[in-house]
Order: sequence, then structure tokens, then C-alpha cells
Amino acid sequence: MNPVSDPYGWWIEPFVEHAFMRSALVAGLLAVLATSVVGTWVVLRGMTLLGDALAHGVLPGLALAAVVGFNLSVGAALAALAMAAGVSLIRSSSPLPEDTATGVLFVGFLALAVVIMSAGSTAYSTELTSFLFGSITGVTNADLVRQAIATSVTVIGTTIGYRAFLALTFDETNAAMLGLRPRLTHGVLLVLIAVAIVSSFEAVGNLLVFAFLVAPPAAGALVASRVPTIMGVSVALGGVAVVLGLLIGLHFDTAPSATMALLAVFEFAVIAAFQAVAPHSGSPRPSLR
Amino acid sequence: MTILAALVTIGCSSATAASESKPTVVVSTSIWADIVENLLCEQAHDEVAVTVLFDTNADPHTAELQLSDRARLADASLVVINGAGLESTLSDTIDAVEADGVPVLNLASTISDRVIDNDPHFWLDPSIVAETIVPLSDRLIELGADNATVTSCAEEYRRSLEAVDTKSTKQFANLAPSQRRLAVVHGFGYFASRYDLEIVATVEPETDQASPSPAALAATIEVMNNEGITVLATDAYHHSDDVNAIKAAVDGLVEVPVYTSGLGPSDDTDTYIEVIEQNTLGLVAALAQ
Repeated sequence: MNPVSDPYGWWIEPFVEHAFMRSALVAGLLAVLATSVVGTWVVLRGMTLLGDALAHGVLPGLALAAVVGFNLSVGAALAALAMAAGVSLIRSSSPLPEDTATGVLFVGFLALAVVIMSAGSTAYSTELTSFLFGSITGVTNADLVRQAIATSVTVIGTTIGYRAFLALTFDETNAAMLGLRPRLTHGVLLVLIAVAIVSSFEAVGNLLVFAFLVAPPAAGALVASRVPTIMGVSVALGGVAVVLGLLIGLHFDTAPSATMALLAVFEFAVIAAFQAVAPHSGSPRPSLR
Repeated sequence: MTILAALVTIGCSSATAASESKPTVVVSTSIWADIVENLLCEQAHDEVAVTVLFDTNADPHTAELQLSDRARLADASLVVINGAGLESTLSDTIDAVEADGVPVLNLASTISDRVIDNDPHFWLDPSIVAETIVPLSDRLIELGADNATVTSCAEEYRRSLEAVDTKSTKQFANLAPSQRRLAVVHGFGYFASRYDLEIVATVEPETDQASPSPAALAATIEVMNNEGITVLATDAYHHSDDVNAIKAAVDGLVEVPVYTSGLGPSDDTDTYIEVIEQNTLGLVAALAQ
């Protein structure tokens, strides 16, 4: 069976025949939607290091939740908020550039996670593994409902905060004059990023969620200039990566989450390479709108 | 990091395809798959197919599933897991499979009074395995395996288990009590307590998240040197740096590779009973020195 000789069997049948493939597809698409709408701001504002830090900064929260024994998602969310608060604090109270503060906190959180885990019992580790790599083979309807709610939060939050995020992204000084409170806006954005990251664990796992936060929006920013278009392109590219990743994972026994992440990065690389050789019309830099 | 478990079927894939109407039992580990196959003998194999989820050399604590494995679980008539936390990385998936209506037999819960300290490695005690025969054969008969065949195969297998158990007991009993002291890798407790071996030190496994602390390693080495322990039972499939460190620090150390979580690769270790025999032979030879 191959995608050309048996298109139905290769592309469609897996989703028709297996409920778990449909669940995995929905989980993947919800993750793409959440990470695309917030990831677009991450890319446009040049805060990818912070996005990475948030994605991996949740680990001490997971470790603590596993060792102490409370809900891992709650632990992850708390750690992400602590990371966001820490970065904001250092940013506002020290003369250091933001990436320095982020880098220091990032590595500090990783080390803290390992220390917490080494101090705890050995029984913690397995549930944590599923957080690191995702458990797209074990998506239940309850998981999908939780993920749908979180994704709605990111989409609605982005819609409501759209003007403020736009001003913050392209004209921070002006944003303050317009009364859009840049620091509050920045904080809200960090919370939305954290929500998208934590809710996407099930589908792609903590190690690879960052790929979806950055690669599809970055590819979108290469081909489009209006923010909503970038988000749309990002969702479309991420969606293709999810569908193809699942099918390749099923037919060729590759790790599904990693395959999806790799495809998302590959799409970006192809578009970037194409733009490098082809003379492009218009500016790749998004303009204010 | 975790090596992704590859898809493995005891029956070849063409046999699986040819028998779509035949009820299929998916068993998590190769050892339990071998036990289930023995309960079916050759005759009842026409009625019920058996496939195994984890590779023989996979570490069940950290193994991950591919989407094709998930498809096999979804299509199974019965899923047999060891339980007691052995498959905990798959707990989300097992829950989802069960929610989809596939019956799951958790072996630990059928012999729960013999599970010690939540240690899942109880298959290394043949007398405990013997107790799982009745619940296992009942389920196989429910699936359509011939009642008389399974009953007689099960009885025959129970006798083989008794025989290997008695043989191992005798071989270890020939050793003086002072010779029955050793250090072991994680997971060997049931075997040791069945055959009256004294575990002086246990080498905990390295996990994905954190290696055992140097203090624990140093304590193990100190105990072994102080107590004059020169036999270390190590996992035949998973070599750890800790074992190398112990070898370097303990004079005259004899390392005995034992099979703790899967069947062996050679003709004399590819059934459960042979695994017990070989583990016994190797250890008795080393301890007798």
C-alpha cells in the first residue's frame, strides 16, 4: 500500500477505521490552532527564546506535581506562570537584556526539575515520560474536551487582545500612549503562551511542543504580512504536518509526535529555501495593519 | 533517552492478516505472551491469535507505542497487561483502549495478595505465574479457544512450572546459606525471595529523568566490599554505567546477566521456563565459586 496506488487506503481509511486516529487528529489540530495563534506573536515579537523557556520551564512544576502527587497539568501551568513572572520581574527591574534573564531562568528551572526528581521516589518517572513525549495514542474524549477549552481560551484571548498585541508587537511606545498598558499586555500574552503549551502536551509532548509554537508561524511570516493571514497559513501548515505526521507514523512506524514536529520544521525549511532562491515580491517583514 | 519500542509480533504479519476474523490477544511483554501461548498449546492457536506489544529487549518501564501498535490494541479481543505499574508509560493508552470497549486483563490484580511493595516483576517467581493460569485460561476460553484443549494445556503447563520451580529450589538449596548472598539489579526481588537468596544491595536503574545519585552508588559499593559480595546479577539487556562503576570498584566481581523483563535471544532462553532455568544456572554457578 502506498499513497499513490491506494489513496483511500493510505490517506482516508486509517481515520475512518480507527477511533484513536480521529482522536489523535483532533488533538493534533487543536494543538496546532492554539500554538499557531499565540506562536505568531512569539515569532513576530522575537520572543522565541522565551517561548522555549516557557515550554521547558514547566518541568519543575511537572516534577513537583509527580513527586507530591497533584495534577500534572496544574503543576505545569504553575511553573509556566512562575517562569513568566520571573522573566517579567527581571526585565522590569534589571538593566540586563531580556534574553539573558530568560536564559538564566530557563536553565535554573531545568536544574530545579532534575533536583526535585532526584529527591523524589523512583515511581514518579513514568507519568512524566508521557508528558515529555506526549501520549497521542491515549487521547480520551475527556482529554479532547479539556484541550478544546484551553484552545478556545487562546483563540478568544488573542481575538480580544488583538489590537493590544499588535501595538505591543510593532510600536510599543505608541501602545503606552494609546493606553494599551504594554506590561499587562505582555503578561497576558505570556499566560496565553503557557496555556497553549500546557494544553498541547498530550498531542506533541513537552519536548517538541516548541516546534509547533515557532515553525508554522515562522513559515507563515515568510509568506504573509498581515497577522491574521500569518495565523491562517500557520494553522494550515501545522494541520498538514499533523495529518501527514499521523499517517507516516501509522504506516512507517515512526514516532508520531516527532514526525509531526519534524514535518512542521521541514515545511518552514522548504519555504525559507524557496524564498532564498526565488526573487520575492513584497516585503517578508509584516507591516502594521 | 527512551528508545522507541518497535512493533513486534510473535506470529508473523501475514498470519495476522490471514486471520482477521480470529480473536486476537495482545500481550504486553514477551514473557507473558509465551505463557499465554503455552496455555493455548498448538491446537488452540487456530482459534486464538497471540501478539506481543513490547520487543523482548525493550524496557517495559519506558517503552512507547507506535500508532500501528495502538491499532493492534484497538482491534484486539483481549489485552493482557502485567499491571502493578509495569506499563505505566502506557497507562493513558490502556485507559483509552479500555474506554473504547476492549477488555483488559490486569494480571497483577488477579494475584494482588502476592504483589509485594508494588513491585511489578512478579513473573520471576514461577509459583506466582502458576496462580495466573486459571484467570488467563478462563479468558481464553471466553474468547472461543476450545475448553478441553486449554484446560489440558493449562494443566500441563502448571506441571512444567512446578517442575522448573522445584528444580531451581533444589539447585539453590545446594548452596550454603553464606553463598546465597548477592547484589542484584532492580526487579530481581521476587526471584531472590522465592529461592531464598539474600539481596545485600540493589542497583537501581537509570531512568530517563535522573541517574541514581552518586551517594547511592557509593553506598552499594561499600556494602558489597564490606560484606564480601562478589556476585552481581545484571540485566542481560540493559547495561548501566553504575554496573561498570561497581565492576571497577569491587575486586573479583562476577557479573551474571539475567533476564528480568523479556525473553532471551537464543534457543535456550526463548521461553519463560528456559529463562528461569538459565537465570538459575548462571547464578548457581557464580555463587558456588
